[in-house]
Amino acid sequence: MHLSPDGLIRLTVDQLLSTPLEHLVSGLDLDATVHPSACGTQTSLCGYTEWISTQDPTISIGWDWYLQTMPAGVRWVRVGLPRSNLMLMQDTGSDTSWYANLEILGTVVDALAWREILPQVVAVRYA
Amino acid sequence: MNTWQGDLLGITDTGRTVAEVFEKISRASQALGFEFCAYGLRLPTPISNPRTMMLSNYPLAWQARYASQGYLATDPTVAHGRHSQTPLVWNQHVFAPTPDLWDESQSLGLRFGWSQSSLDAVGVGGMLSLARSSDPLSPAELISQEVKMRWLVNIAHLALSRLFVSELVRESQPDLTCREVEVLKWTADGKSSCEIADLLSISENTVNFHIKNSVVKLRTANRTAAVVRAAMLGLLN
Repeated sequence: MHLSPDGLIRLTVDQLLSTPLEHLVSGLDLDATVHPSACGTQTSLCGYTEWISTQDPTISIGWDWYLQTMPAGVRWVRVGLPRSNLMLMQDTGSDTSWYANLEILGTVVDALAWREILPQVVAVRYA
Repeated sequence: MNTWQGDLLGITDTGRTVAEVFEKISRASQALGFEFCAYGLRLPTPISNPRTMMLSNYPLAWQARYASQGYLATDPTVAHGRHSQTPLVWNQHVFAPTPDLWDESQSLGLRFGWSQSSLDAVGVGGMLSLARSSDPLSPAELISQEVKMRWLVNIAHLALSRLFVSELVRESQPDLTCREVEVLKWTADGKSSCEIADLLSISENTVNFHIKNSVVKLRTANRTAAVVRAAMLGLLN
């Protein structure tokens, strides 16, 4: 893992999966709040979250999410691709394409336990 | 040196077959210490009876038994995966409602396992199970390995759902025109043919013509089913 002159941290997926990441900040997109036109309409919540590594150089991955209501409850869904200062390298040492890089980072994000902790984090911040 | 993680990086590339992708997932599960793995995918259509696909390297006797007994409908790990994406470690308590399923899987070497589901934005649900015949999953193993196992679930789902959905789209050969998509979008928003005609400045007959063509191309029975199928296939995005 190293910080490159272009500002990106280059590492392999196995290095990333072995790097502990912790929650930094989460919030609601307050400007996206839609005022209900009538009582009884469904609430729509969306927001952002960022996780970082505790070692230098600091890895940062952020993504947007929304709360999907379903008949059986609610589901926290990642929206779009993450934003990050990471560039994943292949086993050969070459970079992946930027789109593939973000797509793979999306699968890493989905492997983090963010859905388990976000309800509590949001509840505490906006209590 | 090639790692199993690096080996998986390319499985989302186009041009791969389902068999190639599953072979790489099997190798990754072995690298994580599981001799068996199974991936199930549930497509959101048809709504009344969603299509399910299964890939596994489980013992053939177990695969046959699972299918003949219709265990998919009662498997507690599948039921858990439908409403939660939290990983599930297999144990006797989890399988308490289905003791026969538990006893039979145990006798065929599927003794210790772990499952997690994944659901994408278009409603395609997948579940990966990792299993082995010896050594229970210890808390220490889960602490050190679970992020990797969870990543395997997500990259497997990304690659396989994409392959299965594109196969489904190919089968349907919808080939919808821009106008047909536009009309279906307004229909999905609850507009009548008359209203869509006003919105697009075309006649009501032309709107109905586009809807009829879409119904045929999507191989559905009526406009409602056509809209649902097009939406599920991501054609209205």
